[in-house]
Amino acid sequence: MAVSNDFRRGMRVCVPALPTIFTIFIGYGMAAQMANVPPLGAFAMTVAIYAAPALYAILDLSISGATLFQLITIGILANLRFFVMSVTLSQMFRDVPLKRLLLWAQFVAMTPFLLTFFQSRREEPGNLFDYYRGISVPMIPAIIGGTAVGIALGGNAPAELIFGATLFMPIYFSLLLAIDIKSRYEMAAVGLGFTLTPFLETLIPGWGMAICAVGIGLTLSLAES
Amino acid sequence: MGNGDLRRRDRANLITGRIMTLNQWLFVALGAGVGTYILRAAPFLLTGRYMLGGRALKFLIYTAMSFFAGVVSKSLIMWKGEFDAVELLIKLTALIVALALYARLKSVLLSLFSGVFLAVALKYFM
Repeated sequence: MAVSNDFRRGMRVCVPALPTIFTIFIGYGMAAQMANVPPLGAFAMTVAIYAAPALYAILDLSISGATLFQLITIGILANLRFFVMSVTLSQMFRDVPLKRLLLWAQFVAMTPFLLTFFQSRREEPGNLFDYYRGISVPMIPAIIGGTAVGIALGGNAPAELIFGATLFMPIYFSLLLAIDIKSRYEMAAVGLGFTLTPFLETLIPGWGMAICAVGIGLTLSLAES
Repeated sequence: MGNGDLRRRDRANLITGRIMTLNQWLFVALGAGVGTYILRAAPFLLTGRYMLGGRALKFLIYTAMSFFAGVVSKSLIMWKGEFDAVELLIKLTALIVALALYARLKSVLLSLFSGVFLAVALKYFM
């Protein structure tokens, strides 16, 4: 299958986010080791759920002795934000055959969603589905490799390295935001999201970011219209 | 099995009073994975064939921007769910330096790597 320029562009734009993604999953692998999850179980969770916050939520709950049903429920609820992301992406991919969309739906996550969203706002966005696929592909080895390294390391990773690697994504996203804000409503969305999310995440762990984003989106869209 | 493995197993036993088997973990992976996949795929089936109206699109744009900002502030302020004033100061310094470098050089990668290396250096010496 030929690889398009948009696919390659997607791969390139994903590179700066990879160290953070890799590190997040190193953290998950280490936490899975500490929670006594067998390596095969930890890998199966990584591949099937494919989202770090839900994985952490399941591990947290498993330590407190929850039932299997509770673990599954918290895993699904922690991922509700993907529904909103897929609604947005579905508007960008309206010409793509459904079969292909359903195949690639498993890779809907924060980084492919946000980077594709930014690309869609450019004057010549190109083929957004190829771009999204290009972002998703290099993430797979980063996620699985991070889990493997985390399991292997246990609790022995150098603190400075972990600290530095976790900064790639927030700084990268801040730079993208600074480049892309186009109106005062968007600036308000960014300002409110930045300030309110940590408070709401503290109050409602795992839910705060999604509730905050949807609330801000709803308020600003109503205010503008 | 090494001593480390024994200690971890003992710790998990003490906390939970049980150890989940591999099959149980695979069952959780399958259940949560299928549920999450439905969340991811359903909008492509439900809304993908229709063009949403202007207000709905605005809502999605503002929600996405807010998500974006939320990811940044959550990573900066409460990484691992803990607040650490010194780490926050280092991260904010790195972020400001990266933004200032971008304003001057217009290079995302150079600004990004400069900010991260500055943060690692500050963390190492503080």
